[in-house]
Amino acid sequence: MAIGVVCPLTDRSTDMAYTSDEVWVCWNQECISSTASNLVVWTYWNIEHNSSHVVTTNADFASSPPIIITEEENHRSRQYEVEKAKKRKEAREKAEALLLANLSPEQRDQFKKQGNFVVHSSDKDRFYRVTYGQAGNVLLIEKASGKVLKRLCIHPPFEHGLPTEDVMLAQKLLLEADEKAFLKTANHHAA
Amino acid sequence: MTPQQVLDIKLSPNQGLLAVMNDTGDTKTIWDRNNADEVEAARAQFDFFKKKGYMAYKIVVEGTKGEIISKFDPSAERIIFAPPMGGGM
Repeated sequence: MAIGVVCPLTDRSTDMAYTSDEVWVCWNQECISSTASNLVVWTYWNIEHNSSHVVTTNADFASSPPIIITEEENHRSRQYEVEKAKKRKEAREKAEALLLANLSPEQRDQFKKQGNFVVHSSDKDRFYRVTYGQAGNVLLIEKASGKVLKRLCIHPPFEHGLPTEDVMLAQKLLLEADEKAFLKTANHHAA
Repeated sequence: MTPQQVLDIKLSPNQGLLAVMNDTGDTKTIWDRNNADEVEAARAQFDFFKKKGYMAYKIVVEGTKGEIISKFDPSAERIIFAPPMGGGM
């Protein structure tokens, strides 16, 4: 699938398939998927990062007639994207603040240093590492060695547009309050 | 708010805080337990999001695990609402 990437801040667009380093570095940090062309993947990308890059499929280019945009419309569009990026940044900062306020001092330290934190489920004496991300980011680990035993995927629908830090907090709260419900709801994947 | 400002939120002994996660981060509501109108407003908000399937967690002490609640507790210090979650990819 050829992918065109439009950067609203620069208005540069291309219908060539290319892999921006920034796109894939960010993708690897935040999502784990073997199907890079999965529409759900790009939906997630657009929701999480559409402040700077918007990914469209080849079909969008093929089926849409050329659109003539005036300079004024172009300027308004850029201003809109800049404002959206600013709001997105503010939302992430607010979500991070709420997350940090609801972590133990040890978890807070882990998150600040590594971008993840360990949750102890007292129910079955199990340990989970909540890594930075929204999908497939919760790992069942062996406490002593840190070895990953299983990967779990559970999150609110991406349409809610929650910042990643909110999702991580929601995962932590459910895991600690009702591990059984967490495990029943999550999709389980091999490590 | 900076993380430190959130950490430093000092509620008076009579106040409770409700935070609903959303695309702006979260929306906070503070109520005074001695103010019937504020308690009812917080209760109405609680019921609204519970009907939408949100999970409500009552936080007793910062950093400790939250307790899932199904009814509004005006004596709660902090309540956090998270959207319903499902299994992902």
